[in-house]
Amino acid sequence: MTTDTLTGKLVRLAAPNLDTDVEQSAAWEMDSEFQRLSGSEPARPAPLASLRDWMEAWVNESNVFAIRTLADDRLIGFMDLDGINWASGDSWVGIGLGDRRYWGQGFGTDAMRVIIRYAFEELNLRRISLTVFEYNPRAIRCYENLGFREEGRARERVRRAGRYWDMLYMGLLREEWQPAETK
Amino acid sequence: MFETSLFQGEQVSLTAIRPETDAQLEARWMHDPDYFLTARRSQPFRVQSAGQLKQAYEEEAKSAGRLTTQYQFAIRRCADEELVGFLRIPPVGWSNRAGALEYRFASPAEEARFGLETLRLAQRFAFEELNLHRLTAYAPEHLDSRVAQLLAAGFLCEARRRQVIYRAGRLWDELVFGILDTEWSGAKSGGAQ
Repeated sequence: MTTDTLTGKLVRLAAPNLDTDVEQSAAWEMDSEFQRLSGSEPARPAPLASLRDWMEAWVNESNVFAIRTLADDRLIGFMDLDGINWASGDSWVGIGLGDRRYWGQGFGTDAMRVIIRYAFEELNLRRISLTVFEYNPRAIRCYENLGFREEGRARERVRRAGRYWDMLYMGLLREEWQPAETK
Repeated sequence: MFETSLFQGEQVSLTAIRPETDAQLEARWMHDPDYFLTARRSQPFRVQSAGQLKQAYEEEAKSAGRLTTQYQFAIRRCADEELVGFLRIPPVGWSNRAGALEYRFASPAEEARFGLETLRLAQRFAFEELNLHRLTAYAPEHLDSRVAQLLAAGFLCEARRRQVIYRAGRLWDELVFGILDTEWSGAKSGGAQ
């Protein structure tokens, strides 16, 4: 029982601090690539005040975590467990690394490992769900490495840069998860 | 010029919700355990009073009016205008031209009778009026009649989300269906048949 449930090898999950995090988040929203990877709505710069309102509602309604590096406690992104179905033990997970310097180096995978462990060992969930666009192969590889299985794809679900792209449904059952990976 | 009545089928029509009287009926449906089977719910079903339902309809109507990207209908039998179910198109993503159908009937028996025509009316509305590119619909794996109707209406089963529904003491998969505008045969066959 000595494991800190919310700490991984590279990052820890912390409570969001709206007073300091909103400004950082607003800077990330200027990166249209980040927005296109994060959601299906049109990318747009968000005014600080409306972003704060949006984040406040998000933090109140979902289990939102700030992702901070262990090395220097830098905020590099957010993740959440949303729409938890307590009866079936299922939750959607979402992750966005806003700071590009931390892409492709295992920070996102580490954060996912921590939240999966939290979901299965602390919340007693049985399953984690996510969706990801086919134009995000880096994320798809990360989810597959964590044990997520592709459960199908909504064809031509999102239109970006002049063509339609599929949206993949992925799921991880607790019995498929390899907890050794979190150590 | 068009001469197509988008909301009128042979057996059912899609109309506005009448909060006062429709809430009375749905509150009664809630005491039939079969009713729970046709509604898509991510949470366990709670019985609601007519007053609570009326308030929920009115709130949804208000947000639909504000967003104008969300549509809701009462499904009524043509013969006597009796309410048989509800159809909802949750907020549409316009840049992607992607929408979804969520519907529930008084019982699986009512769905078996009126589901396919409702689907065809909904598809025609989605493709001919909303100009959507794709439409998504969901079915719990245990609702065989819905699965059969979605396939009959031209939907393709695109995903099987394993064990996401808990009902009647066990876990069930949720099936995700999709149809593209290019696959929809309604335009050729004259819409709702």
